[in-house]
Amino acid sequence: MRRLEMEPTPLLLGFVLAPLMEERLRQSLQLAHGDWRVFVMQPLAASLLLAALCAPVLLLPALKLRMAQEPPTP
Amino acid sequence: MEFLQHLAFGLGVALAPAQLPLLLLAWILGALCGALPGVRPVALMALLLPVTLQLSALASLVLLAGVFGGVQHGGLVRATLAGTLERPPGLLAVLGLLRQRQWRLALAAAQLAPLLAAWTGVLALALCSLWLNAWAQQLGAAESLALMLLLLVGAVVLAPGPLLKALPMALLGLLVGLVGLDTQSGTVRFAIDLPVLGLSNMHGIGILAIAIGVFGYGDVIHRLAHPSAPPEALAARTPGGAAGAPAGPQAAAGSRPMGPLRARLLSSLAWLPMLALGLPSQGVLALVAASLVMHQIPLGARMLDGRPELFWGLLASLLLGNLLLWLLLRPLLAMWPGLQRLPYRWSCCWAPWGSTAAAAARSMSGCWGLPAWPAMPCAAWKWSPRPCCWALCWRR
Repeated sequence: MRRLEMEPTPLLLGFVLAPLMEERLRQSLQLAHGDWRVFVMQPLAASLLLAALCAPVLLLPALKLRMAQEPPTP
Repeated sequence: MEFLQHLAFGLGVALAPAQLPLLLLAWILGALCGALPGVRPVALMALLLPVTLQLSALASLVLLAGVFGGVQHGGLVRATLAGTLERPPGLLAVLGLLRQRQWRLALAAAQLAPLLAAWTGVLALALCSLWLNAWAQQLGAAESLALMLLLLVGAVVLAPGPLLKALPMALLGLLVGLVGLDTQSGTVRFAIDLPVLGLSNMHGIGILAIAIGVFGYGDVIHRLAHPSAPPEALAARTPGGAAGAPAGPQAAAGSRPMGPLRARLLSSLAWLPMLALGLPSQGVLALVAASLVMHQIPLGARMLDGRPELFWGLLASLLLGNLLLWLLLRPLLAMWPGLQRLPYRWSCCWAPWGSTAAAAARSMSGCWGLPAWPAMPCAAWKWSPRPCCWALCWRR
């Protein structure tokens, strides 16, 4: 992993959040009787999901700026 | 008024004999390690994670928070000494007081500023998290799922390095987290027929194994193996830098070095998602969440109501720890040059401590760290461990 310069932080976060996310996904789907539209119909959930989807796009300019500032590591 | 009562309750909890020695120890250890070149808070906390198994939930929270805060502040002082940070912004005001010949006031202002900045940060953290928590408690299942997804995406986007490398890591983490017993049907999944992963281990892969392996030993061994690797940028050690993936309120400030006062102000705000939503948003907080999970405390926004002593005790320990570091600033500064000269191979010798603690703890998964006892000196003095491994394999 270090050789590939992979960042381990997302790994740990995903590991901790995975059981929680699974539980919530099942809960919400049970409440909605298996209807996936529940995530789109609730305004708050929809806006949060939209933010999650848009985050990479919105932050990309900032990322590029940061990359340009950091000297490339050999 | 209610707020003050709660805070007094937290102070009482943090000053209890079960927590106070740990608090002192953790902040001092953290500050010393923050001074050592190349020690990351995540690695240190990962190695301390097995120790928390022996403690109560609150004590482990205090310990981890102390180490995190101590490392942050140690790194700050180091960065200030190295001259990479801007001068304290309050300097002009102090000079103005000096010019007006108000000596005592100026002296007090200059010395109290770091403490006041840190305390303001903690109090802001308390107010923000109370407010956010009230909002988060009304969230339903679908909303909190979306919120977690947002946190995860945020961590991926803000992780240093290219996006394409962080994304698979998050997915891998999610997959690894799902290994083990299915919570609803009770069947074993993703275990590839290994009893270790399946029936004999109800909780799937232990968080200890991942945290220690990836963050603790992985980090230490990598640094030992590449001593010529440039020491990480000093900016990365200030809170909000790459010490964990910067997230939440610090994202904007993460890319440039901050002044010491502002850094102290912001250093506590890293706790906001953990305290308010009960969800981790960066590597350090993920370790804290892991230790809470190991103590069977469900993560989530209900933590504040269910276990208020955790919330207020943590806040009070941050306050006390900042006070302690402020008192210790002068002796630490005197010790700094000596610490700086310590080569990494010596400073990493603390690494096996974690594994011994893990072996002593009740958890079996921590015993994976035991081979590190001989491995650390081997790596530190460049003795190749390969012949040893071959000999072990041939005996089989």
